[in-house]
Amino acid sequence: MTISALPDLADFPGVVLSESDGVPVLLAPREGNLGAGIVFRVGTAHETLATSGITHLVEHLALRGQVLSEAHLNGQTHADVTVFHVAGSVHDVVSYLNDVCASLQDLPLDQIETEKDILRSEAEGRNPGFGGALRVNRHGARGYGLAGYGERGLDRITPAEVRQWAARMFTRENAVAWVTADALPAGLDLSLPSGERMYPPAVTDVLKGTPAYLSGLRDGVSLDALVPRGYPALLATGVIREVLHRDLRRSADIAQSLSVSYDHLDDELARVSVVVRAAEGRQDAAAGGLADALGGLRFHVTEDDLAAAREGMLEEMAEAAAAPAADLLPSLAYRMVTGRDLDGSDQARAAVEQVSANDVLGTMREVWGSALWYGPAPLDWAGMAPAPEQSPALAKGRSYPRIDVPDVSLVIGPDGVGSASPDGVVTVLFADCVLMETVPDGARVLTGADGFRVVIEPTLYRSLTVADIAASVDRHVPEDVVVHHPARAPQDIPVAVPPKKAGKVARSVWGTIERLIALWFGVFVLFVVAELIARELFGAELRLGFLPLLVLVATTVQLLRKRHGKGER
Amino acid sequence: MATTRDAAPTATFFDPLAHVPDGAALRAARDAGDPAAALAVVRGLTVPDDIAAALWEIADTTAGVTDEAQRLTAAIEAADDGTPLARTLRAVRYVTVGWAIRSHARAEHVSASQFEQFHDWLRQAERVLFDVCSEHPGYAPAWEPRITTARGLQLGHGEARRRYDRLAALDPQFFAAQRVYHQQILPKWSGSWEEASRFVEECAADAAPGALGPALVVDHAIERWLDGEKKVPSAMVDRVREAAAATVLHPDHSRTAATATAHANFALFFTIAKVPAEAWPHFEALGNSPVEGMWGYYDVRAEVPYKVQRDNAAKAAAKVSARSGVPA
Repeated sequence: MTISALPDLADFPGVVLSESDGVPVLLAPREGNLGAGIVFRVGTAHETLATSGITHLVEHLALRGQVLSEAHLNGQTHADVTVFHVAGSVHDVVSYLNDVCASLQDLPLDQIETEKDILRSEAEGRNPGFGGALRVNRHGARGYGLAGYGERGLDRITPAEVRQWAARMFTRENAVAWVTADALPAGLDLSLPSGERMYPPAVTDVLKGTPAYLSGLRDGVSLDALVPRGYPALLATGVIREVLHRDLRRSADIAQSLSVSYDHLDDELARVSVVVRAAEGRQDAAAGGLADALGGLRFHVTEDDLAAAREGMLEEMAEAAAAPAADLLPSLAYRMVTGRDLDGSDQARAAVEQVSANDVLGTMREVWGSALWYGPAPLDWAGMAPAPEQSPALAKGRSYPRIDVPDVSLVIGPDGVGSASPDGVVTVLFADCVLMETVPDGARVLTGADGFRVVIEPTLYRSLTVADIAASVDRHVPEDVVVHHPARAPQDIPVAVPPKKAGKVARSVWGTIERLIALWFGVFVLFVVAELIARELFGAELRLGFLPLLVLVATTVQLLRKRHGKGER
Repeated sequence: MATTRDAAPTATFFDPLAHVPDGAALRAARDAGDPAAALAVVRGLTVPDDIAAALWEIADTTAGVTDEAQRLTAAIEAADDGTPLARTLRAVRYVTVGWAIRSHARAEHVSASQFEQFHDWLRQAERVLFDVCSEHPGYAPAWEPRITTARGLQLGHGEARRRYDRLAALDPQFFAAQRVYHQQILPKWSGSWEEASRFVEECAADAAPGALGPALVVDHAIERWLDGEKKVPSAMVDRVREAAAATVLHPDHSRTAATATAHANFALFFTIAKVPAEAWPHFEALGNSPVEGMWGYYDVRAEVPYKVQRDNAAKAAAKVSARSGVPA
């Protein structure tokens, strides 16, 4: 990409676009300290589940040389971009940016295990929460859905993969830098390998139709919706905020707090998210209130609400326009690297003024129609369908019944694995497997691209051996999605306890019939043999008459009484 | 001159339509199984309490899963012309069909399959009402059955209250809605006496002069008595007496279908409180067109005790007025 292909910045007076070592650099002076940074079009949503955490790892490794610097510096890995930024003297800024770029080309891979440990401890106590559940249920175990998982790839990412990822993603074509100065500082060296601009992360969808809901959220209600990006959607976000503040807070004390946000995803789509934290004891009202509010917005967007939303946006824009040009650089760099519109404030203002209530209404219907809800209880009464909890079909193959829960079984076949229970079936096809976790005792957890998981515990299934798993599962899963965990403590390996047969079950009718046949047959044989012995050895004849028959009948009656008698409940 | 408010002659003993404007026309449409004609009459009504009484009565004619009931459901669906009123009638019909399947037995006597069908019908109703309330948020008659669906679908007290509040913001004097929400918060629907009692006070305090809000105390008092309270406390009798004076007997009171329900409940209350003379004005107000109110809780054959108690009340009242020297 050449500079001439870059957008016109005429709408941003005071901002100059320059270039250093093939990296576009935005420049605008400011008083005092310098601020600078570089943003790359790569984030966690570009990863796979098996490589999740790799971008964060690169960011940490690239900053490893900076730990002793006194400048104010940092790095952040987001879903869609990774940012390195610094504030300090000219010298601080130049040495930081030079060092980051140099380091990205020659990462201290000998430190990889230490950094992985640091990332793991950073992740402790961080919980993807309800936002994570919404992401996984909408996107599966890919792209934006990875936000629901944590950095699972850290347990398998190799130094070679890290090097390749850095070489492919942290390139000059995939970066935009900024410095709050009127010219490039002397000595700046942003040399990076050549590559290509990355696409936005794919927006995957595993929901089988929307609006859909998840239930079981305790504190309130939340939803996300995918809508056509643009000013109508931005204003719709503002209108939702107005309406919810009125319906759930001002006129009714239902929400303790609420947030409505808009995130640009790609050229077509944006995500609108709503989070309502319910007031004490009002969780059910929060869900109903949000459903009614958004349901109503399908039909009515008032001019007053639109005017309030518009006013809020214009105020924000006026503030941004009044701020020194240098303050815009980080967001301009972000917008450039993600390929977003670079409307100046006049253009943006005109576009905001132009949006009509009808345009917003159109977005509201998209919000409703595409929403995935997460509330305390089912929302089927508002016309939503439950989010899928089952795979469309069970994998074909050999079935292994579960020892402790006989109506649950595991299926292992040539194309995948599955589990079947009275609640439904879950399948992970080998071709769709995005992560397989293994432990030496033979247990496996396979995660499919749609986010469904199948857990294989060899101790829990009848006639399933570790050798079977190696032959029928491991062989089909590519090594680059396999995580090998260390051995589990013996007490962590599940033990199957077969369900106890109740006394009554033991007294089955068949059991009784079997016993009776054995009794009659045994007694018959006994008498025939006795008769033979008596005749052959003693020449005598046993004259027992009906006696054996009587004994048999009496024993039969006794047996029946004992096994099926009334007084033995 | 006869006005539309004057009771229309009736064939059945209890007939709430007798107290709805144009009740005779409504009754004819109902008896002919013609919901479209009934809707044409209801369209002329303006008071939410009248509309609610009419809708529930039309919808509740034959419930359950008989052929006749299915025909009525189909006719009500066919009469849905997309107006909020017709859609609300359809939803109310689904609620009554569902409730007939559930039966009014306590939950432990209702089978799992009954509950499943009951919930299916209520969900159907709720989806219709949800859309009506989304599209026409100011249409109070569609909010009223949503309090009942919230109870049946167990959406929670918070949600039921929110729905009641939305409705009260539209029409703070909607007595049928107050009665339905009061049911929701009783102990038998996992509420509490304290909560229900607070709501009763709230409705009394917020009522316009002559409006029915203070009469909700009667529902509350009867529920307590049904729950096993042996003797109605005299303080409660005083409270209900004041409530009658502030509502149905108040000069500013304007009659609606809910007035008749309130009279029936006042009559029942003074009967169980063993002050039949005070029950008489309420029996008298209903004249030959009684409505059931809570008499169905008192006895499954409500008609029989109603007549007996009405006669008792008449005699007691005559005795009182004879004693005070005023001719009965």
